[in-house]
Amino acid sequence: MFSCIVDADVLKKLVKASSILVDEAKIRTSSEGISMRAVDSANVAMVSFELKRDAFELFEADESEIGVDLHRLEDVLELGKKGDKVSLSVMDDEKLRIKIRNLSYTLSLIDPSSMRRDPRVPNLEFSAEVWVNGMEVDRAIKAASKISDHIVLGVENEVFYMEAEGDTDSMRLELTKDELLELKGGNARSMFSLDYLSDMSKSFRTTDEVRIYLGTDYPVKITFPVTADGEVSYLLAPRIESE
Amino acid sequence: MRLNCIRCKGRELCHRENCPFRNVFRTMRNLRFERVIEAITPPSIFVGRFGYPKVSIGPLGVREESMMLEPPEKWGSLDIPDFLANRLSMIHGRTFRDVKARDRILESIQEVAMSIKPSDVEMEFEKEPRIREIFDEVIAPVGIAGDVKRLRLIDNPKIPKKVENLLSDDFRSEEWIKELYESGFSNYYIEQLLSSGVAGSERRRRLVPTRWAITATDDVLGRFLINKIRRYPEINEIRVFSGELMGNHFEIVLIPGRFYFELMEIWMPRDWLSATVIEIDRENERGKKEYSKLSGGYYAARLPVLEYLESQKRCASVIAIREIRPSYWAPLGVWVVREAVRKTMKERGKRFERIEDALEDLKSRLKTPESLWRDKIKFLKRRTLFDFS
Repeated sequence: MFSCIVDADVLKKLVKASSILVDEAKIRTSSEGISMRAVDSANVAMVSFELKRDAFELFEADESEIGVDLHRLEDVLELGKKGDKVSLSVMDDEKLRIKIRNLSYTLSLIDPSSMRRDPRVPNLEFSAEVWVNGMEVDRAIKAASKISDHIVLGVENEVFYMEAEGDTDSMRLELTKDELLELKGGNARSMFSLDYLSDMSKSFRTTDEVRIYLGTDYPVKITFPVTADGEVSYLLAPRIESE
Repeated sequence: MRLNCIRCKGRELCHRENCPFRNVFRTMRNLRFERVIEAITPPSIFVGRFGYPKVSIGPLGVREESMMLEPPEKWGSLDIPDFLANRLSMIHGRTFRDVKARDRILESIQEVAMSIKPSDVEMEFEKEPRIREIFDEVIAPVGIAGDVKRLRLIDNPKIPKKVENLLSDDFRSEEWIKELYESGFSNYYIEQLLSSGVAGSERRRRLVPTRWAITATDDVLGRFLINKIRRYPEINEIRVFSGELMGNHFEIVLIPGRFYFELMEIWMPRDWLSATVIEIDRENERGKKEYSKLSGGYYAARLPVLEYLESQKRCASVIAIREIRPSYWAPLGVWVVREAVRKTMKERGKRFERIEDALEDLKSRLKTPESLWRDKIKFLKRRTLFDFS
């Protein structure tokens, strides 16, 4: 049994942030709120989100799992306008009822036991942490996409940089400690596929505070809030620089 | 075209002692044709792609039953010259139509396409049919063509009940392809139906050039199978399959993991002037966004591997290596690739614990030095999130 009312916009952000990596998601519900964790088919990237019960206008849930087709849910949520509330409920019939204003929609659920088990969370230790405006990161990613398939993210002597090298052109963005919201830890440098990062940056480009955790030839973790009581987190494996 | 033989077509520009084309063309040059030909069709039709949306369409037939080729599943048992001799003696009785046209002649051609038993056809030509070789990487060669004035099906076609039922339903082409495949029809039959313009929902039916229909069928079936396979449990050890057909050598490595398919094509040098050419394409379970740069061969190589995984009800990450040897001297169509992989997947696979051991094993069977291809395998460069904890 699950029933809630929440800002359509918040839910849409969570679903969009996840659907860039996976088609289906197993959403966990508990009395604390909802959460989800999934890796993409190549095991290269992970997305997780959490939305606490305080983010909801109404929230009633047992411990359970709901298997949803994210693209279909996204299609339904597209029907909502800014400021709309969406009400979700699951009864015993394995269907998700969605209501946006006077529009009701019933979506078939996927049996969670037929879905891939939740991935374990890799145990990672990062050497640097950067808090930065999402728009800056998005700009650098867009610039890099024009010249290359991959981008380097790093920290050197308290400067956060993003750089890419194409066959003939190159690009570099530098942000000093003063220009950042926060910079902790030491040096780091890893290369990532822009295929993944471009999709990810669409979810956080309007966010003021994006936290990036880095290491050397190491995965990156990117977390950002979607509302006061909800957060999305990405993990992305690096590429080998010699490629 | 990568092959010089195709340009020369038996003019012996290479001064090779044994010109592969000579015998084939000697037979063909001696063929004389009448205005009216009674031919027997396997049954088979061909739809050209040039001039689209006005395309050539018509049955393919031979004059004597003894010249008739077996169904494509068995073509691989011939050697290349025999296959070519057979295939090039086929007569394409063609007529030109808009892809959306409907008339009596088209209906007869469609009946040929749907029929599952050989049938006699009488073709009256505008003028005597002529040698007109069509060589292509995707479609099987066609030798002789002429414009038909009149076309008559002598036998009644034998059309499967399943197809009759589909004709009256309003399914999309993709559904047709899946339905027919699940009922046990071969990809060769399906692609022929698709190109004849009987498949799909009624309003949208149209002729589809053979070349496009072949790859569309391979791709639709492939995506259909991937969608099932990605939910199966993973295989529990590394398996290596090895096989060859008409100079196309395959090494196929199945690795426990989520669905992933990578095809590496190694084109061996054909003379001392040319170099080895290596090309790669790949996809994961979310599929490809664009047409493969390896063209129809990619989809043809993928299908039999998926058929194997489906038969085992198992999921795997796949690295497929296709080494194209100089003995594959004429492009015969992607059926060679498909049947080569089908044959390969029927072999007894070897089992390994580590991917390094599997590569060590297969490198001895490839003629191309390891240093040229090993570093190009994208799968080996991947780092996953779980390599770090």
